[in-house]
Amino acid sequence: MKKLLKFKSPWLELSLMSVLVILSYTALMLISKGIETPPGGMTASSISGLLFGFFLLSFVIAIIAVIAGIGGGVLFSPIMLAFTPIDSLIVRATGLIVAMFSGLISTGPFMKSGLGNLKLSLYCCCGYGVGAFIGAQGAIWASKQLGMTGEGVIRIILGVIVLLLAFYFLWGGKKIEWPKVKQVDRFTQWLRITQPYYEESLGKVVDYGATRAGFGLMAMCGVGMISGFFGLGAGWAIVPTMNLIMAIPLKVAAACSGILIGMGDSIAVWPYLLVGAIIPLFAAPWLVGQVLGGLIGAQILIKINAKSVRFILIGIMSFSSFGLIARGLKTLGYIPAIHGTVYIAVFLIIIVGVVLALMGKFPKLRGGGNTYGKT
Amino acid sequence: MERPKILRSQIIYGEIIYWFSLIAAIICTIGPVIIILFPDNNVMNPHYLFSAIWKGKNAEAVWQGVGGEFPGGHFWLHNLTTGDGFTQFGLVIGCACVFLALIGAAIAYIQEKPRAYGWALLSLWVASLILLSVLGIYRV
Repeated sequence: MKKLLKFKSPWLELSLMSVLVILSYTALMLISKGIETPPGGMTASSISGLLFGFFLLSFVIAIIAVIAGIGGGVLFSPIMLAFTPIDSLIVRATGLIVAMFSGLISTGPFMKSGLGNLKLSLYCCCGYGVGAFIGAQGAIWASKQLGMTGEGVIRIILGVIVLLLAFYFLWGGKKIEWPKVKQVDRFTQWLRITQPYYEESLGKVVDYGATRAGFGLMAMCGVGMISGFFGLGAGWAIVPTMNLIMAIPLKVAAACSGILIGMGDSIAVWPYLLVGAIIPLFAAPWLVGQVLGGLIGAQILIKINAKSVRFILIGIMSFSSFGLIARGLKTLGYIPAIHGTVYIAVFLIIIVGVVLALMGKFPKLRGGGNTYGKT
Repeated sequence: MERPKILRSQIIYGEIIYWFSLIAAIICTIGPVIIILFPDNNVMNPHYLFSAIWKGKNAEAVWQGVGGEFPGGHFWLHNLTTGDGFTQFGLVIGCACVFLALIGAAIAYIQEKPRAYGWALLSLWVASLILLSVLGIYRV
């Protein structure tokens, strides 16, 4: 019986997709050997190797992105801009595909399990969409009025805010993982935005509350403005906004953030697609990696405890903060351009810290974990 | 333990996106094989395309240099039998699936008891933003 269950959705699709990917890349490698390279062109073997490398990188990024509730673009864009000579518009456009598809493929499992909340995601998308539009218009205005100095200062301020939030998440513990709603305002009550779901890591039904929906909408508008202004994904800001302002449990916030990113980027991706910045052969392996990795990431998020999500999110927020402050200081001319290896070194240090925290090496930071409903 | 019932609108939204994303991924897995197998049957020859991308050329220069000119975002409509036209079709399916899912969710919200007209309207509003973006009117 257990064997049969393994061939139920999503494991059946996951197995079939994995077989298809293995067959396709094996076929690509074999075909490449017999294809002549025209003068001045890249060899088919090199193209196939690059496509396979892109797929693998995308697969890993997707797993981390879905668990943390961020768009994979936060990891994809710095890596591609630091280590490849590829044009920044092509990188940013493909980054949207990366961010979008991990969100899209995880939407199905999250909706079915109840961890995702469509009403909450739709509600937040309204504020986020309006904010992103205003932010994009603001970016055009600011580039004329404030120049590079203004952009540099805003980046540094943003980086410091994200770092402070990461510290708050670090010490927040249980009240971050399972926030307690003491008072629900009338507007939030009227929205009836929450829904109970079965929490796999606890083995019981969680009937969470929500509050301050009005402030949440305004904050989401602000997050959208930042996202539109800087042209970057805002997954690292969506989860804290839902969690700290609306008191949504961390795991639900991470799941809804992924759903919201998929929804919001469906609007943002088309201008890039319509001007040719998304090149099919280049974008395809990234998309496939996101879908396969996103499927696995969604299953992990459904099962792991909230503590693990919190530590991974702290890591991502710290890395985002480092990137924002470094780019801000560079824009202002205080430091030279930071080499890609420094970014990777910082990322690896943060990863080691997160892994040690997950292994329980920092007992003071443990937080609530599996203690929903207990005081 | 009995699990809470999930709203139909939510299930419909999730299922539409899930299956369309999988279809997009399948097309984007097969597409590159066709592109490499028949390099001349593409809008852009993959050998020159990757060479141009790796030289750091911008999107406009890549299309002009390799494909003559950019044939428009919906070039797949007239090039479905080419490798890159087929792959672009996969990308388009994935990028448009949220629109279909929101329409499905809006219908489900209206059919639910009690009828959730507000949430249906909100779904349609986000869907209309996607439609405007697909048509090139709304730009973020």
